[in-house]
Amino acid sequence: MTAIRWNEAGLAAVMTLAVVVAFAVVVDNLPVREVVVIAYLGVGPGAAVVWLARIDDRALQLALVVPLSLTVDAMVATGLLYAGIWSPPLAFAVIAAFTALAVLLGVRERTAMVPLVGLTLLPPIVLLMGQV
Amino acid sequence: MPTVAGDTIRDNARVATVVALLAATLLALVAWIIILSDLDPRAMDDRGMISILPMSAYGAIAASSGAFVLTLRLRPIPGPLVLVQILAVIFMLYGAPGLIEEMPRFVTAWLHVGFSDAIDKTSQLHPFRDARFDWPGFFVLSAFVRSIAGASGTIDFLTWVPPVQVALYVGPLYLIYRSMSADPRLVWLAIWAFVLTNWVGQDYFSPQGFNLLLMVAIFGILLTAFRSPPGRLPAWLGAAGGWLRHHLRVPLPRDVVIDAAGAGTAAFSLRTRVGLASFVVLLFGMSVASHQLTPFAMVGGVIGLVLFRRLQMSGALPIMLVLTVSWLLFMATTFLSGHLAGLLEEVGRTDQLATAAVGDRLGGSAGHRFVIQGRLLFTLAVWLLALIGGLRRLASGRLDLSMAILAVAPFGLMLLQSYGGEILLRVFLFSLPFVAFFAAAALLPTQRPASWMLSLVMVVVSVGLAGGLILTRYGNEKADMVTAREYEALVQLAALSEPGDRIFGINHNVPTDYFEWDEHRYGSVPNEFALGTAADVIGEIEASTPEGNDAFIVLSRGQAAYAELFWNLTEAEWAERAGWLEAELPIVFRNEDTTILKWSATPQ
Repeated sequence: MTAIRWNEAGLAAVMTLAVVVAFAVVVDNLPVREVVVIAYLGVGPGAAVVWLARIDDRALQLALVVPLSLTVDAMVATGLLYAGIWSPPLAFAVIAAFTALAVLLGVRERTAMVPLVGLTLLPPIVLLMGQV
Repeated sequence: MPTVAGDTIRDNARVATVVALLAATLLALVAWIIILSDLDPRAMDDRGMISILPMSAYGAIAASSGAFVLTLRLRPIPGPLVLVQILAVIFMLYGAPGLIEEMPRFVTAWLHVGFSDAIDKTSQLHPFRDARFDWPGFFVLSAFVRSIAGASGTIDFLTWVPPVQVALYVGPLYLIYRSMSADPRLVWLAIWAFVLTNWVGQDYFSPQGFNLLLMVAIFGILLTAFRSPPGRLPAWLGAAGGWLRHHLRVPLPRDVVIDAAGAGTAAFSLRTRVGLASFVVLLFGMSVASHQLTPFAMVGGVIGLVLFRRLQMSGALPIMLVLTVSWLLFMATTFLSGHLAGLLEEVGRTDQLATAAVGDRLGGSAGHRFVIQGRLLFTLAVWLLALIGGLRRLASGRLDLSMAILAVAPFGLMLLQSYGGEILLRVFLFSLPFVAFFAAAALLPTQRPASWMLSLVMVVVSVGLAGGLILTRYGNEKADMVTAREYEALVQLAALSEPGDRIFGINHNVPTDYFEWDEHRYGSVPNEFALGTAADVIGEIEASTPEGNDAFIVLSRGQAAYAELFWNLTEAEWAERAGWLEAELPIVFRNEDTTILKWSATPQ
């Protein structure tokens, strides 16, 4: 398996995690909630933008994933707060959508497109259903 | 010519060596956990954690260091093993309080949880109550993550923030050091040196701890992808070197390379460079929105890199300046309107610096003064080691100019601010990622194979630095720790008090403001308690409590320990003064570690 395919497998895992998080947020008291939320918010957005930038240096990729993820999370949540909207589920939906968009923009192989699109659409849908 | 059989034997020997070194590392870790879990935190005296740590704990550190140093002798170095060793020593040194103490340590970390919960609860910032809300990025991030994770109201995670945060620094530090040296031994040893010397303890649940991660990530990107190529000394500097060599017999090499290319400065595609440049802006933007000091430290470093032409992306500087100034002028308005005059007054006043940073910190009990002196000596020792490392690198023909600039630039902050007397600590912190490289270079300046004697020296230095770290970092531990009984009292206080009631400590070293920060106002009466009488304390409480509200006065073990360390107030003197207050005010809660008194406008 090439390095690029490994990346896509990693991103598919990130997006799958996003789906799990969305369910965990909607279904109260899910025991894995803390772990999956922190794992996703700590890794997901950063992995997507690092991939989008097509950084092929593995050390650079790994070193930047967490700081970039936390930066994206904080910017979205802070931006919403300054806009007068404090809603953690909404902030999560925006982050999930941003991550999904970055993943889709970075897709290099058509074969990876279909499952990734499916995975990127699911979290916002689940969250919206939860809000309703 | 090597034979297949010979290769197989060598491969098997290598696998056996790696397994043995991994086993030694894990054994040292397990031994450390067993030893520390058995210690009694209440036995600590005013020298902190070092006063209860048995010799066997240092043995565990020596074993861990030995395994690490032996790993550095392998060619090639097994990256996963050395990473495990570094993570293990991070857990040992930064997770130590979690193994010994009952509750998360350090009241400021608790206060930051209070800020975070207040944002989640009130859906707004509170800059009029605390200036830190003018740089809210970190608090909003934690409020968001805690809320969405369903972890609001929890406190236990604080214990593990320092080891996790320091572990997160490792990746960006690797990038920085790799950009400066093609010798993987020096890269790993520099990370090891950072871990063993990061004594200032700012990696707790705090904006500055998070911002150090942003800072090392930014410089990791800049040095990897945007650093100017290696260069030669300018002619005039070369001539000056020649004069020193000939006339003063200084052993300078004839041929010096500036920033000799490390392993990570490969060319990147345009798309990747654009992506990395936007990451720098994004990360710096986050820093500007989440901490008042770190952006200035980074701007200072980038100014230095641009001035000495060590940065290709010189456009980073104006962007950083605009972001920093814009936030200050347009977003931190509450802070600025109240503090601008004071800030401008401090610019250039280095006379205040020595008094605030050192003079005020040399008081307190005998044990505490010993710790303070230890901190000064430890800091000087690290800087001296770095100086030796820089000179040894220069003697071998390498001038690590970018690293030297970034190590020195934070000292410029001392001209701007005393930062409440903490500026020297912050300067040490901001320069440490780069100072650690030179400290490691003192032992491994070139790629020459290390002798067994040098390996032994590396183990001894490692154990010495780890001991120094425990003394300096955990020197206030008697006051910094929080007990389960103190926490129990806080729970009672939350139940007893009504919104609007005033909560007083004798000093600030009590995490009362963790609970319902938005509902109460907090105060302390240090001078009235230590120098005055019960009437003075009650008078101050009466004057500070709004009409119609009650006040609670919390006397706790942690505050008494703080008074001992910083005011030299003995346990007997504390008990005598507490007795005066208890005679005047009713006790509403008491356990082994805490007494809560209540003051009402109408006596009960």
